[in-house]
Amino acid sequence: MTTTGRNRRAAAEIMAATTAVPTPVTAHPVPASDPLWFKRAVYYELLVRAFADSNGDGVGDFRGLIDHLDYLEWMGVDCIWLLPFNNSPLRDGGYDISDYYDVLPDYGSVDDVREFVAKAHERGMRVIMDLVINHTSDQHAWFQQARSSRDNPYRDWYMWSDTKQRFEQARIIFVDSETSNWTWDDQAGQYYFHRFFSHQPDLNYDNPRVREEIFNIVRFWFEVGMDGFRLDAVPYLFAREGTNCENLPETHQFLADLRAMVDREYTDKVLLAEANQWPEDVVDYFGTEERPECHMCFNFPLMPRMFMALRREQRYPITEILERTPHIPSTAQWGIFLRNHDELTLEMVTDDERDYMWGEYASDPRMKLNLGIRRRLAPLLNNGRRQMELFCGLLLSLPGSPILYYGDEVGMGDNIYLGDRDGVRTPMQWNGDRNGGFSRSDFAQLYLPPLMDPVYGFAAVNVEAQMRNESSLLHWMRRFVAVRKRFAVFGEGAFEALDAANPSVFAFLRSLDGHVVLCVNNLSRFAQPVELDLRKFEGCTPVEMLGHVHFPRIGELSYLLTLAPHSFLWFTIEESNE
Amino acid sequence: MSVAVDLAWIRETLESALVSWLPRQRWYGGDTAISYVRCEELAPIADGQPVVAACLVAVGFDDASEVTYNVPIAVGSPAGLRPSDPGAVVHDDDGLLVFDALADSRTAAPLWRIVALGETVRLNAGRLIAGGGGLTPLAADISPLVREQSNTSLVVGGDHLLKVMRRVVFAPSVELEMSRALADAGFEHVAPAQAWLDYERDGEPHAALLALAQPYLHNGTEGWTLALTSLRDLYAVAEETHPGGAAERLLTVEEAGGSFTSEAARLGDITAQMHLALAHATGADLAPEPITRGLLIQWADEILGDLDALIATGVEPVRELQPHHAALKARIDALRTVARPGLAIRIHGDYHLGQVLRTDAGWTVLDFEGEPRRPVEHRRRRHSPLRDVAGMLRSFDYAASVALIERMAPTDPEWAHLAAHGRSWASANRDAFWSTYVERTVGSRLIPDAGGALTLRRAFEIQKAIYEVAYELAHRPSWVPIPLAFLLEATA
Repeated sequence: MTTTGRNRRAAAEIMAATTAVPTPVTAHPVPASDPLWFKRAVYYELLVRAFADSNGDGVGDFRGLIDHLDYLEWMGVDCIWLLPFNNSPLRDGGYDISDYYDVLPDYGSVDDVREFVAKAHERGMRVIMDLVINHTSDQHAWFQQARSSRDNPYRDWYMWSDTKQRFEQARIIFVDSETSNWTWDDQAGQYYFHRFFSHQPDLNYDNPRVREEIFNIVRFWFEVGMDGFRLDAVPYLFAREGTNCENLPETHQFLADLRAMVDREYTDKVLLAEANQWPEDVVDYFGTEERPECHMCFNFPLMPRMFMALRREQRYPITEILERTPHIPSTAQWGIFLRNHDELTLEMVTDDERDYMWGEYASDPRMKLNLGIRRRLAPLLNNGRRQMELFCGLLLSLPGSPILYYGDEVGMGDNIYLGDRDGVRTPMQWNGDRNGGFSRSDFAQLYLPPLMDPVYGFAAVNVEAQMRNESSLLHWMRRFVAVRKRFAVFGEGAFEALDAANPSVFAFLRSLDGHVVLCVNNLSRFAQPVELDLRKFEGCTPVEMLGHVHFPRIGELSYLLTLAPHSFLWFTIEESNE
Repeated sequence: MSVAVDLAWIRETLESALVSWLPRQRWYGGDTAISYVRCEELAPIADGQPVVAACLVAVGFDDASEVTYNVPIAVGSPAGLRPSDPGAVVHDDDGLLVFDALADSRTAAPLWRIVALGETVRLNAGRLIAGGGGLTPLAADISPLVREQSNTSLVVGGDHLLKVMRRVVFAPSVELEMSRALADAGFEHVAPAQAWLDYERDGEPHAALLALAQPYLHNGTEGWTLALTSLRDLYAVAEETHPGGAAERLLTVEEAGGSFTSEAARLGDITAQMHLALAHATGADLAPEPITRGLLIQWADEILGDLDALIATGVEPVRELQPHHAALKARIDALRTVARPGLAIRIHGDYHLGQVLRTDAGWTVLDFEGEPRRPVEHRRRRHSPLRDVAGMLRSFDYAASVALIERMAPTDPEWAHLAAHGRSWASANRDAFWSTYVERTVGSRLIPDAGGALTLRRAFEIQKAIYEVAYELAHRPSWVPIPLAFLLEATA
């Protein structure tokens, strides 16, 4: 089916599919081999729990997800990233796994996952899943075995000590809830090591059986059909005395071994590392051309800087961090995002910037959590449509693969009165019906209450209403996702910031094989002029990419553009015919 | 046809054409009533079409004074290469086209080549000597930078900035001397001199600096522009809200999105680093000296002299100062008795928000020439570093006022409300700059202890404001209230 053909499919038809049996789609299945697909893909991050409930038990599930695949295809999503769905006591949103080979019963079965992935593939979408490999839940059978006695074969799958005075230089990550990285276990008669919550004991990567088991888990889910993994908390796998136990050479060796196995046994798979570090440290997780590690890494510092740049009405917070971001192998890619399921990460800003960000974006102390701010995109931007568009425009045009967070495409809000990070994990808002169309269960049975406030609640903000309205944020997002996907330069092209005397304007070029795209962004809430030095394109014509509008030809003098408040323009630079 | 024959003809053409051409150039700072132009040096530095020639001209005025300008020219035929800017053409007639060689990549290239390779070129009345060098001589793109007024800066291949001096002064270059001293001392926030071009005139003891090559700083914005961006945001917030007392106003300043205070603190930090580096400079012209009692007295006398001269003009707005004379004098006289007043070092000399450039790597300090109107010997004098500090602090005041003047007329009903915000902005940024500066220099002997430092700073701020009042009276009378308000408040 052509793009136009898909456009013609009525919104109502797609909406019908969200509650009924999916329409059979034979469109464009995932191609046979395309090893760099991950560089051009647009990602969509979602929680199975929060997306759609098919059986009315108040919790989202894989069958509900299958019912909504048409929606994701309509949006232009290339790859779905599923947050953890393995069996878990759910004391940390599923990042505490108690069985890697099973699915949380609330969500469905391994067979459901298999069907979901197959149906996504039929629609040309790929699927990656979260894999938590640094630690398990304390409810995992391995840990139950390990704590039972010192000579249990699983004892050395974890890290034990008679004292808390080991690895003392390892920082405590969840400073709000933990006071030490060691917790006493009565049954074991020893302390066990954990970098995150005390109910998440760290696996002992010095044990070759642990490493082999992780390989087997990876193989198992590839066989189910997964296209890749988002590897959680990779900097912390190994621990060594006298270090801060982050980014150790042993950890890199393990990742290189994992990658070698994946490349040897599979094709077109992707490993995405979560390493919340400065860019110069993160690049190590790409490995080298000869000894690659992960295909993708998140660019964490970029995101808080974008918020700072907007509030300061100047580009330096962004250009500074891009300048500090080293070059990466041509077969590697950054993963970039505006918001995700965790709080707005402030670990990667300096102390005075953090105070500033807290002052700016978290006027209520409840919004502060660990070192971040727990808000969604829309409330962070005061529900400003222009700002949301500007941010999404940046997300889709800066170097890296964009990752959208479920609900942000319609401008969902958050509930800061929910515990921990649940405030940004409320049910997807499908329509204005009961429970926002997420579930037919009783309200009281829902895993979390949906938003019902007059500004962000499901009556005001939902997919159905925005699908019917061509000028909605949802339609806007879909159009720009489509533009991005038409031009490989966004995913694979080089990046070059342009000088501009006006600090409120952030202009840059993306280029690939002679194709050049110019992006000009106004970070100010006031209209701004900018003069750009485009003389190297003298005689060419900038053509606006959405409407294909031809702008004046580039001459010998600097090129003048005026930008409305918080607006941005994308151009292709084309040879003039005149 | 030999080049020599051509040159005689060109010389004659130039001497008449430049009389009207020079005053039209942005960088020309002299009197427009030129009585004559005399070619002092004219020699080809590159053959070809067009020919590029080094050219120094003496410009004479009615009062018998003479100033020398550096005007490298390109000479070709009207049918040949032509600069894109018609204003660069000096002469276009009789089958001869003469234009500013710096106006086009191809005719600027020979000059860059000499600088880049460190060559020596014999001319007619002297020689060009390039130092430093080792840069790549082939540059595809040489384009003028439209920022500076008194010089012409060229961006070479996107990597270097070639600053071509237009006014020729046969004396050691303050800019070169300072940027070398700072680079030698390991100060990172300056664009180091990579190469330079001197002109040695036969029989002249001192060479004149004609050009200076530095790394080109990408993605830069002047501190002044960034400060105005911040103020624009603050005033917009202020127009929407009418907070009450003084404490609430300050809160707005700190929380306004465009807060500049962290940048001001960073500026305080690099300013301290710059002065600490200069305090370790060596050599007869650069090494620091202790500030003697005699020097303090001399400074106090100078400032008092400036004040009295200003009041003596008797013009209307300045008369407001009369009742405050005694209080101002007391502030100035306090200078005489400062204990352990610190070191006199070589300073920037013309330090304000327009002289610092924000790039992705932080702040860089620009233009070490000192106050361009002063003679070289005056600019090379050693001073307390607090003179630079005073200059930057005054600049915060100016930014707040200029942003407001650009926004509305003083008769606007919102003026007082916004002006209060502007004062809060200036005060918050001055505090951020000053406290960081003091924190970084404490215990260094550079400046006196807290009370003494404040006395010196205030006296220098008063001196700067007096200079500003005099300048605004002559050039921008509507801006006189900016420095005048500072002087009136300084005694409060």
